Amino acid sequence: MPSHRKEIRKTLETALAGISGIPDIIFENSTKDPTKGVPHIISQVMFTGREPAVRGTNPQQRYDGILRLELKVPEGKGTAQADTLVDLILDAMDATTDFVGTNIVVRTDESYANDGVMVGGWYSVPISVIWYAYKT
Amino acid sequence: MARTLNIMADVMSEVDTVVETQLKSLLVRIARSLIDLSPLGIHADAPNGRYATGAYIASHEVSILGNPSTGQGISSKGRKPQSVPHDGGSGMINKIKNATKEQLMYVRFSNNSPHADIVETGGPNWRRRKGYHVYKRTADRFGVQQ
Repeated sequence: MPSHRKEIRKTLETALAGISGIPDIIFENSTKDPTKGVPHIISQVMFTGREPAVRGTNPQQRYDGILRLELKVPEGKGTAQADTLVDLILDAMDATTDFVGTNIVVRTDESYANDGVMVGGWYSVPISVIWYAYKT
Repeated sequence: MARTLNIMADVMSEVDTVVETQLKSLLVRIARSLIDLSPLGIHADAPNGRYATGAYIASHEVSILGNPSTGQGISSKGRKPQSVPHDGGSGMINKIKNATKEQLMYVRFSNNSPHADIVETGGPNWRRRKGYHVYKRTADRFGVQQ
């Protein structure tokens, strides 16, 4: 059975990049550097499972995973900007939202943000979007 | 009497299944908490300011009975681990889901990457010396021992 990892990643990253009003995104294995003092998002697509969705011959594969994001805004300037951006992302990637790729649909199961942390000149807010995907 | 024992065996089997399911669910939530709270980019005061993405999160491991931790970690400087590849963020969840009930009698989460301590509590070059406290926050969240 062919793997759809590439298409799933493309679908999720396209959906993320299409959210209006969010800062630049640094995708995986990128040479893009952050600019000091400029908000940005680090993105990682994690694949946590690929197994048959049903029993029997030629079952369709179900993919599970987490889209891990880290939103970074300048340290020491309050939480309002981060909260606004987190709301934008969570609204766009709310539970049961479908993102349609080529022969694949990625659906979000949950999306949430954890507490912000001040590190290295940034206020970092981790965001997780739990997703699963089926071939169409 | 034989009839009663058979019913009890069935009930115990059901209880076992429920316990295993709930235990796996809890462990997956713990693993997911470690993933959720892990920084994606370790940069701090790196000379070129570039992110060393993924090294810390990829170094999370879960040890279960019969499948101990390797004690190695990935360095963000590109050095490879010297023994069996560890689980990484995603691998922890797969290992838990595929483990037997007996293997789950002993479970330990760890991160042995060279910068694990700095990520947890902050380092001398980190402004304000704040860390991410990934393991402490997860331990507090689930009431488990660190």
